[in-house]
Amino acid sequence: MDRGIIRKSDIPKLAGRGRFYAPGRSLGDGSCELVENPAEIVYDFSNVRVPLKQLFLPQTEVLCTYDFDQVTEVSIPAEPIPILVFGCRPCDARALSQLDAVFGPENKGYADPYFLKRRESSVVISLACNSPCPTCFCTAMGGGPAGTEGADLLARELAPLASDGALLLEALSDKGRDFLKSHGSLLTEAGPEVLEEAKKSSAAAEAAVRKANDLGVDLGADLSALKKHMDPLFDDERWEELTASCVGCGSCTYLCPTCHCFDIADESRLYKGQRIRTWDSCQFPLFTKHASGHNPRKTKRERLRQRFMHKFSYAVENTGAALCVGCGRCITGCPVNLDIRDVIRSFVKETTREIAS
Amino acid sequence: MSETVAKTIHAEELSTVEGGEWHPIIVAFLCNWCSYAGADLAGVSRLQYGPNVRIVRVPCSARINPQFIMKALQNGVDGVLVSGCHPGDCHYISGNLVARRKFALTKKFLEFVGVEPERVQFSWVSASEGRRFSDLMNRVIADVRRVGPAKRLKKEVS
Amino acid sequence: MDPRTSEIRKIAQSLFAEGKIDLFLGFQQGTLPLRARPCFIRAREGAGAVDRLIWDSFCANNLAAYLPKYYENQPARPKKRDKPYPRIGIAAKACDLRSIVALTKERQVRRESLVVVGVPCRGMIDTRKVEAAVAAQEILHHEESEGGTLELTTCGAGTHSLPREQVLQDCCLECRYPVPEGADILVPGEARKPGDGGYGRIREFESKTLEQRWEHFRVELSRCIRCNACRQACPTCWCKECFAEQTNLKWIGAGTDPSDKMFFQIIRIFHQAGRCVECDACYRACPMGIDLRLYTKKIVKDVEEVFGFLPVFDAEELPPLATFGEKDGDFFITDPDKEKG
Repeated sequence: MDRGIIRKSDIPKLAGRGRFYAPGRSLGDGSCELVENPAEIVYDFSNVRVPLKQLFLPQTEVLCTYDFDQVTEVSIPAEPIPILVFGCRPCDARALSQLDAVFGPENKGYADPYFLKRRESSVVISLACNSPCPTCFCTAMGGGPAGTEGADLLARELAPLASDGALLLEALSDKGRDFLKSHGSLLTEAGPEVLEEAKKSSAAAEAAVRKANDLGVDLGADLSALKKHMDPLFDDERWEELTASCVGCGSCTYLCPTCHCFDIADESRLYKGQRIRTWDSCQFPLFTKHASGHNPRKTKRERLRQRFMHKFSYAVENTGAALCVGCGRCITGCPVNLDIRDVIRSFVKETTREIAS
Repeated sequence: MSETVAKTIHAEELSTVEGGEWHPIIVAFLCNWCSYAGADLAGVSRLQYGPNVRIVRVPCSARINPQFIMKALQNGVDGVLVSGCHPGDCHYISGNLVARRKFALTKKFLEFVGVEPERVQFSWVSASEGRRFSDLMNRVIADVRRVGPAKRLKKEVS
Repeated sequence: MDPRTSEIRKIAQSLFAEGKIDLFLGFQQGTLPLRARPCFIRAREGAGAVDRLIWDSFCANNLAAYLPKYYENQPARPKKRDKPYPRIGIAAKACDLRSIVALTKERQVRRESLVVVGVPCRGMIDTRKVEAAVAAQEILHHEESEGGTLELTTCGAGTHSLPREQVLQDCCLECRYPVPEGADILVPGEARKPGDGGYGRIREFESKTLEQRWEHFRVELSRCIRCNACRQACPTCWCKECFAEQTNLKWIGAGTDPSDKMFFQIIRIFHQAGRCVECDACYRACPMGIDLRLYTKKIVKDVEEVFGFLPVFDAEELPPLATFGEKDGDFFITDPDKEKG
């Protein structure tokens, strides 16, 4: 079964035995987050604050536990509990497919079992955007407000947009098709006119994004569009000017749905302990500090250059996918309003230096 | 940190629930010249106080970094005592005077954050005050018993 | 346009023209509504570069945070320094100047190499308050009116008009020192009337029960993702190796263990005792909106009430924790010889 219509009120029923995550209001300051079993699923939000990657690459993850008396290796903390994620945006889902390229076996044969097992045991239903926000530039990065990469199903709100309205669910993968089949009782058939209507509103949303943020580049059309401009300008002066205001806080990394660098540390209490993996950021000076005290990326300029080169050049070379989905969180989250769009624009034309002023 | 000191502060290994009864663990940071000597005098004089105290000797109360107190609480100790020379009597002239300011702020801030005030206490005990030391320890042990096992800042490492 | 904008441009231009500075730190237009962002103008950029500078109600960042990097000595030996110290002009609010004074005391900046262009402050707007006031609708455009309102256009052609006072940052409403005293050049303009310091909220919180206080702390910190934005944005967090990153004595791990998060914040804020100027840079930088203000203000209040010290404009005054007072009290001491009570 490829598609169906479901009532919004029936969405929690899809959950089954595993964990169910959907956009809800956070306890603290009421912002929108992916919450487990939210009291009320939120639909009028631009994006959740902490991206989807937190469910697949958690901020803190126990890799194994040990005891000096017996070295016990705990295998990928038992099998991960199956999860159903509903309502992440297509950009966050697309980020997952970019992370798949990093953590999957295609990446030089090393497969990260922790990440992959979570992916295998999850079903992701993304929710298409009706009205993207001013900082969205997913289309420039090759995605779109109704993008289909990374998720198993795509949900689109059907008119009229009401809290008791309906959604069109479309399967994007075999897992998605099986999911629809097994939940057939909650679905009604979607006629071709419904699909047409949904496609039209997605096209309108896509046009809106393209218009709002024309960065002069489309990585969907040419993945190396930025790489070929950035590589020869590695030592260029402009990096100093673009990065002067960065305070090295790491917010951009932690809020980015594709950033995935991690640190591994042992935390022990005398003879027992855990090996844990935590998020790390190339913006932290400690990231590349050698035991000798030497730091190859001593200043902010080098670290911020690394961030953008990794996203638009090295990742393209290593994994065949750029590491940006255009969600805009780094823009709104940056305390000094350092804007990735300025960086992109300044490299789109090789000879012209267009630094936002 | 030496292994002995580390063991002292890893209360998990030492925290005892014998026969279902909980016994608090208290870490006491004592300055070498006054409080530690005072504790020693209490011992020599056979003055009794609860066996719940683990003593860490420091050269001066000024050596105490609030992070020591936090680390002890993270490791699961139920109470922390810091004791130094009486103001004006510091072996290093003014160590305890500078420390006094740090301690005042630490105590107030931890209480504000929600850590029970009975858990983190400061005192002045001189080398000749064996009796005062044993009374102090008994008082601190009683206070910590009243507030129960420490949970708030304890770090769970499996 | 705020008249301060043209004043600041003029001053920066003349400082460059007279060869008095190598770099000017100010603010320029942000790329998002409700944002201004730090602007770095170098002497070699020539005339006209200063036209990037603006001043409005969104110039909230504490620019003093950028200064220590320019004056650090590598290795930490001033005599071995091979480059001259840069001369930097900086557009500073009173809180920024107070941070500069704190950094001067700690030998992290050379006051004589700075030209502080003081800007009397009318208070900065809190973007979080604005977003809450429009019920989180997407804000497309903002404009400040002459009459003291903030005019907003939101998604769906909505318009809103908010009185400035309603959406100012709390730290500005409570600020007791809106005029940067001791600035080298003072930009003409009116400052807001000094506030009351805002200790009322702390007193109210102090009167809650221990359990209530703990619950608030625990819930707020549960959102922390250990991104370190608070530490990086703070001008007085300048340690090259933060205690949180020490591995030879490892105080805390790098993950989101609740105890580690609380340890980090308690000690980080404790380290600000006698140095925090309540610019709220940490609070603004936090991507998770944690209520750090409550705790920074508590430290400031305790230092003022217990030691009579507040970090203002005097660089000769000794930091309170580097000294002692004969009359410091023993109110916190446990005295076994006295009855409890």
